[in-house]
Amino acid sequence: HFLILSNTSPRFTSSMLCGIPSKFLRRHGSNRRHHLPIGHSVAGLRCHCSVSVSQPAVSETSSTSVKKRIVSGVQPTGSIHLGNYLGAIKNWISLQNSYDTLFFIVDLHAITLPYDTQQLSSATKDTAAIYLACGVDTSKASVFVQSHVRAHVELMWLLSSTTPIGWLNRMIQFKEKSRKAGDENVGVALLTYPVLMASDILLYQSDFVPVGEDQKQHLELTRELAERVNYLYGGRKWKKLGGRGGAIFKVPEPLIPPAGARVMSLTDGLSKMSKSAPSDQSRINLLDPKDVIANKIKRCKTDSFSGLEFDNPDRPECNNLLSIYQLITGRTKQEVAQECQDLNWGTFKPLLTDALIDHLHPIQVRYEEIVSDTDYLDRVLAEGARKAADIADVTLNNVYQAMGFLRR
Amino acid sequence: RKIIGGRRMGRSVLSHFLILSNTSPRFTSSMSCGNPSKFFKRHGSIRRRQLPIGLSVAGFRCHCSVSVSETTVSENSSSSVKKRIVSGVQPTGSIHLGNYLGAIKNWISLQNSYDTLFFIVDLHAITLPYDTQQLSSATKDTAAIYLACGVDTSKASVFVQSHVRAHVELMWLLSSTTPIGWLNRMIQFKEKSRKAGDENVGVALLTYPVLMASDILLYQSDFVPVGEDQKQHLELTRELAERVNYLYGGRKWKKLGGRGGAIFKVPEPLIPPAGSRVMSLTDGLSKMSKSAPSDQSRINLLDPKDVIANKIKRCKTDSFSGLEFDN
Repeated sequence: HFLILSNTSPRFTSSMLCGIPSKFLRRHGSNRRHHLPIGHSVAGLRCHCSVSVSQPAVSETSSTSVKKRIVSGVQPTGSIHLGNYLGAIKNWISLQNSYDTLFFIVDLHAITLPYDTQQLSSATKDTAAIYLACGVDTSKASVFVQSHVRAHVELMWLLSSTTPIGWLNRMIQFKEKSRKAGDENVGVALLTYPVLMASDILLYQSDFVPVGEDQKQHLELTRELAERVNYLYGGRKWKKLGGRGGAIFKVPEPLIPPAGARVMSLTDGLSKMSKSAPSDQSRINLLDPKDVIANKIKRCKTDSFSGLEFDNPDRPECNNLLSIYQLITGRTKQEVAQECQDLNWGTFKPLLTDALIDHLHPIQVRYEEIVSDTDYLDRVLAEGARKAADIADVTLNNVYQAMGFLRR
Repeated sequence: RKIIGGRRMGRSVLSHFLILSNTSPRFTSSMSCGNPSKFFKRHGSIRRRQLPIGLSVAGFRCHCSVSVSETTVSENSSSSVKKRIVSGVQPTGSIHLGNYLGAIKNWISLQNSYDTLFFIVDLHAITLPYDTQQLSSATKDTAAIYLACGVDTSKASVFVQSHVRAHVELMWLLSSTTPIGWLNRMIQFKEKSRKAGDENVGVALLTYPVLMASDILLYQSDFVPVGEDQKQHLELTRELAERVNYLYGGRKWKKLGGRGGAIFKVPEPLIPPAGSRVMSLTDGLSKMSKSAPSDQSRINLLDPKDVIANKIKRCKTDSFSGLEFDN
């Protein structure tokens, strides 16, 4: 529960509680310790998040904190499940206190593969509502819809003029998804998906981007693109066109989620828990009622070993279920290992079920409140889009200038 | 045939009488810039337009010719609902005779009977390597040339593509329904990417036709003036419009609160009159082009007299006797 921040150690883990003001940060030499009141709940949500960052959240040298910026996008396709939550959302909520955070629903990305037109709008709203229900604090973080900020596609086009086709052809995500969908029949937007993603990131001069395994290659492309644009259009050339000079884009760093954020399917210990898996039994949806959760855990795949342990390659299901238990309760790996090593599946499963229900119930209550108040949600998203556009348009105009465009 | 201003202009001089008829699919006409629509006189189902010869607008004598494939105004309505034409031109380099005779001259005549939108496609210009320091002035200069050639801003809209955010927005939406295969087979793409180095070209060169489709469909264009090299792109635009109408229009659109019916009007090509494919002065088999290495190959609109004289003096000819068309 203690947050150790240090310039010299590249990685650390911490638990933070949502909404705790920065006065809890006490400086002790080069180490800062974050003291958390345990069990404090904000809006009925007990948060035991953990986060891992590769750099300090605030500059060591300045007394006034200039917060680093993190952006993160999520697809509005289908409902949110435990993998999304433990892999991303839970972490974001802790990040919002020490970083300038922007969360957005990537509806423009959603249409790159066949989707349900009739559902897109409600899926977009529901996704935003889930963020808020999970504890995103709108006084700190911006939440908005990607298509509501016009700069995203504008920068995407400009970037696409300097993105070699070859870079995109070798993207693993593209190759996999286009093969599934039928190669030459897929929309070209699937090919240029990473360019829009780069735009999402670079518009805000992001310092960090939380990425899972499947987005690492896209972030790498974003970094290469930023460096390429800086080289081709930045520096003295930009100055000649009346610009500030220097780098046009900050080159973003990956933010590696802490261990255990890769949540596996309940029915296949080797596959990631996913929205698109055919069987709903494979995942715990954030909005699953108690009895559904109980049933899914009861029926989930286990093994015939005795006792329970982490990190045994022959027991992926066991590792997965223990990890979920650990993350949802906020305990350390050692605590959980000790607690569960002599349990059998029959005694562990109810523990896991109860832990899940305890954690998800407050989120579900808050979610229902939000979706029943559409004005609130519309206002939040409008405000989020406005704040985002203010930042994005500055970057966009710099790029237009550096690329030599005639401005209005 | 009447002769305009004492000079015969060959095939580009057409009858001064504009024959408009719903039944004949194609016709040619000469119109003078800036003439008000009172020149339209209705005679039964045929309208004849009488043109004052030698009328000049702003010191510019216009002898444009235009070919359209449909009537400009609906026969049934007494108030004219003008059909809409959009046309974009690259801001790369200076305008030459090929651009002028192939497009600009025609547009200027179109602006009287159509709702015309002309735009400088700076977003398209960046799809191939370009001079960053020159783009802004080239954009302005191109707009200035349009206006100098007679585009009447009280009738036509002139704007810069990047100044209207909707162009790239619609482009992204369209790109979700444009199969990669359609783009891979575009001849323009294959030629230009081969020249530039295949996998090294920016992906914007591949998606160029999708932005072009967006340019056209945004304005529910009825017609698009296209030369030979853009025909395939217009065909893709038409297919894309039909595809979007099919996938998202009609009842599905109504269910989402929309008007229903077609989302996009499917645009028709506007074939320029014969002779608008101006060839290079140094190579009779290649189109006169901005990108040809030698400036001797083209007459730039802003070339001074002596330069024009010199280029014509030195231009390639042959050793046949006499002069003739179509050999």
